[in-house]
Amino acid sequence: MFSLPLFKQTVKANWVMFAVMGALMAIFLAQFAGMEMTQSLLLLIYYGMIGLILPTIYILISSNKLLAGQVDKGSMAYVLSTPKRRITVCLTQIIYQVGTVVIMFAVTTVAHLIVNAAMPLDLASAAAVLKINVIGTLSAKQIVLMNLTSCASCLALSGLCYMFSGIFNLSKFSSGCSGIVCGVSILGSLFGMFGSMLNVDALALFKYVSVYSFFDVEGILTGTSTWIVLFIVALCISVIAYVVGTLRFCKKDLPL
Amino acid sequence: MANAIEVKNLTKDYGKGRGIFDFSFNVKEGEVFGLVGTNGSGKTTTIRHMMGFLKGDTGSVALRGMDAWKQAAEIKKFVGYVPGQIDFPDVGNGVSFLKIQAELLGLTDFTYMNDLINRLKIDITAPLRRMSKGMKQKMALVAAFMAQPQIYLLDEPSTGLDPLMRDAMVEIILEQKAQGKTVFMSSHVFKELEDTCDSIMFIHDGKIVNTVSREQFALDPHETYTIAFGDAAGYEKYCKAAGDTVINKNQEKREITVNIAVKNINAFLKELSAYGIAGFSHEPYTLEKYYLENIETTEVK
Repeated sequence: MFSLPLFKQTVKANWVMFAVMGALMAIFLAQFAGMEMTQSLLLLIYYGMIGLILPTIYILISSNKLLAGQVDKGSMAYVLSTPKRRITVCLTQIIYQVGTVVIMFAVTTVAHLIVNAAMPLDLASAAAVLKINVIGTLSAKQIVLMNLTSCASCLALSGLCYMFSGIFNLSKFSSGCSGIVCGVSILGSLFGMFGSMLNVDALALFKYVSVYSFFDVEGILTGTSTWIVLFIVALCISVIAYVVGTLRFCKKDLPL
Repeated sequence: MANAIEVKNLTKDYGKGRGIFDFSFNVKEGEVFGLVGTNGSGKTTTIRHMMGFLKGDTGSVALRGMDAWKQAAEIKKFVGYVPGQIDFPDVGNGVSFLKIQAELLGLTDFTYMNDLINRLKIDITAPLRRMSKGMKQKMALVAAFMAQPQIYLLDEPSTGLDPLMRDAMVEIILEQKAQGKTVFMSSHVFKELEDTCDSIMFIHDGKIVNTVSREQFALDPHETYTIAFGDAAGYEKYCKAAGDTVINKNQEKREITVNIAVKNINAFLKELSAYGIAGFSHEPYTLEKYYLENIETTEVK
């Protein structure tokens, strides 16, 4: 059900993008959380944009390479010319993708915990930018929850991108559909943010087209439990998408 | 002898007349079976069904009794494949690729692999992306042959190879054949099919046209000779004497081409010895000739 040689092959093909995006995430986070003049923008700019866009870029590029890209190119023929079942290929690729996304967020979680312990974030000013009313300092628990839920949103996104990679035999369709979902999510999230900052309700609604709306910062900071439901829904979307993509890949004709 | 490959009533319809229709044939264990057809006739589609990449609309494909679609992964334990389209995974150079491929195959003894690399003169340290077409084709051959499987499925395996390397490939195939392996290969190059195959199947527009065995194309009951005569008188005299065995004549060069039944060769040579002969040549009966005479005339309307 898991192939180590295939896993190594996938790591070889994707590690540069993973390392670069992961490093950028940690660097930006450390900068925003660690520098006094940028601390108030942490929630808006890092957790609201950079911390979602960077993993998205990685997910977009790598998910095509997992399945559709290799089928399109023809190199999948080599993997499938060995005694590996299609389901083994799928599960190995899923483990790689989920594993790398989780690691990216685990690293940023640890980085933020360390930086926050040294320079605690004052919530009043940071949350006010997002029109959220809270006081006190950012706790370790809140940091963990924020990264957990944004990770879940990204896993929902990675599931969808993987699904397109499993469904299509051509890179252009796989990347195209994945690109649309990612693009709509980023734009929806940005418009939603502008909308709430500028008090334009119509714009604020845009955030609901975005996969990132499962990342409920307000719920986490104010201590309400709405974030739990959103977290579970995001994971469900992720699981369903991974299953659909896998089933389709296992049953379809492959032009190899 | 058991069948290594059994194809029964296999149809895959892609619409507009494209696809393969009602293919039925068997390949025995230890046989080298060739597949010839024009571009788009269904060669690659046939091989893809055997690899379990495609599922037929109707019919079945079995390798050593195992269903090619349902037991696709199991079958790969004894199958080696050269795909029609050669492109490698994104893993750097030839060494990385062969290492990972060997791991996927569970291959630990690299003696034969290294032997193949030397014979085919490949630089495996070269980056895969920078390899020429011929180099990539040779890499694909190594990947398919290195585990020495029981059955080889080769889709136009000599594409891009220079004549020397093509000969090396034929040698490798014949070595495997001598060990009782089964080879199913598609090709446009008649010479390599002639040198290796026990049977050859001709397909056109998704239908099987004919299957011939080595006996049929290797030994034809007729032999073709071209005779150049020393003088015009001899040329004219033989023209009349040869009658309907003449298939071509050239008055300027005083040449006559005749088709003589094998059993009549002695009488033919005896008769010729009375004439003044300036030149004599024999046109071997090749597979290409068989194809042009028997297949192309029937299928190309």
